[in-house]
Amino acid sequence: MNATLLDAQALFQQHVLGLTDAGALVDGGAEHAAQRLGIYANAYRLRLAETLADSYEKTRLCLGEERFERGALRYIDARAPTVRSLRGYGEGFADALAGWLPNEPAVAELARLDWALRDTFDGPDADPLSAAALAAVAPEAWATLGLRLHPTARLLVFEHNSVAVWQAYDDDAEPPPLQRSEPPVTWLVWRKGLQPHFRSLRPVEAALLGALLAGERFATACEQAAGEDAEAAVQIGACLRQWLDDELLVGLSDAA
Amino acid sequence: MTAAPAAVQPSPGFGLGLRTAHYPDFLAGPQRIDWLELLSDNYLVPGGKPLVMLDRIRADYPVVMHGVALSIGAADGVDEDYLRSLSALADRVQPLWISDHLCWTGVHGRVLHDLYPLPYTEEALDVVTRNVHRAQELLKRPLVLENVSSYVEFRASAMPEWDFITEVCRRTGCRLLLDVNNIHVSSVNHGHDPHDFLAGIPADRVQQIHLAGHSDHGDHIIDTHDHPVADAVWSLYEAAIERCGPVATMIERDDRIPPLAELIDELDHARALSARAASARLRMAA
Repeated sequence: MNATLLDAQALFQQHVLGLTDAGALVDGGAEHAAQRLGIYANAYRLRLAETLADSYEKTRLCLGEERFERGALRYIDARAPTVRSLRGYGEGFADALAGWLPNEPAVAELARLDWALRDTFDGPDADPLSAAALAAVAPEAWATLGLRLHPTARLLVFEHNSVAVWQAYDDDAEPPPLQRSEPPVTWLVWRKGLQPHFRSLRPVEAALLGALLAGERFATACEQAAGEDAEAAVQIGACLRQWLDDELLVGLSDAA
Repeated sequence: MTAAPAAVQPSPGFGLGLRTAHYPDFLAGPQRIDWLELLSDNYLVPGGKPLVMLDRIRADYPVVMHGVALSIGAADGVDEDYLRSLSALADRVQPLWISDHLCWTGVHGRVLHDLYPLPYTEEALDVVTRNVHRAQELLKRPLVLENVSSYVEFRASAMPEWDFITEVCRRTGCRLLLDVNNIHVSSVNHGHDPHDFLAGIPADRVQQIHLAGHSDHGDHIIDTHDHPVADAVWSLYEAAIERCGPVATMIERDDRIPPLAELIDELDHARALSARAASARLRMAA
């Protein structure tokens, strides 16, 4: 089936990816072919680098344009896109940075936050659960109740003050120096309405949400959270009210 | 396909490409444009703000869908999942028509997110014809295909671009999105006369016209959509509407995006040239 055209397209593609020379396909002499094919090869990298810069705005500010671009090109050369949407192209960039910059782990944290917010922005929709729907749950049903969280909700555990740095860049302010925060802090990222949000969690809430995101029923999540703090029971009620305000709850299920 | 294809839809007038920078203007009140072109690929997302904005703005303007990822010229076939997602978006926004480019974007599972030209050969015609038929079947409507800017010509080519385009239209019943800037860019890059292109394409298949700016690099021009429409492109637009009659016309701007009012003013020039061409046609007819 059309082996000739497919071969020609594969060769052209390999040239764009920097893996071979497709000059033989092109009219007008070797120098002309190299220059013009170079336009395509440059445009390919440039478009993907722009995509990464768009997704990792604060990471780019932190690294500086030159270091960011070096990282972006390294990422691009290792990963030719395979899907028609560019939306998910940068998904592995934070992990790649973590591998390349083992002595600057805070940079990868910043990148994880950039990505989480980007991914949350146009992630799936879900209607928030009303306070009335939660109030209507029969007392005996709580033992087996499941609480569904907004599909964009996720937890990030950070060992540095990367969120403060992110926030400073977002406010056009001078960022504080990146430094370790002890103990690590769990952050919740989700979308409320049209707007991505993030906030830090106390250990009890982090344990509750972690368990719910792992698919545990609410009662099991409460048992796990109780191990975090003697006052857990008091905090759990406050968490539920906060989640309603945050539009974080989107459904109930009987997990029995 | 031997039956005569249905005539193109009547022109809805003068439009612009919908860009996020202009969302607040469209939400604030009516703007002096007749229709909007949305970039389909930007709305093939799970949810959130893009689709909410799209629905709100769509309520006030007719839209056409324009994509960049169809890869209708790929020798290993079209991506049917992608076509189904386009079809779902079309169900949502009810576009006047759906367009993409007469090009390919990758093969063997790679998607390089650029618009690569085809060699103008019988073999490529067969590939495009097969792919367009499949796409039209899944989208349940004729495709509108745009001529791309190109920086290379292939040794294998056996016919000029305009003959290739004409033949694609004849074999598939598809329609054309004539990008006048791309005609200019490619003509400079390859040393052709852009009027040969205009004279060579089937005028009655032109559904839409794109106007845009480019970057001049001396011995070649790059299609960057980051400048106002150039004088040479306006002249070529005059020649195009003289040949094609009134055609839905819009300006594309993708970088250094100016305030909406500035683009609407620029679009006024297209309206004026179109009005001039229409009165010239009337004089000729009288």
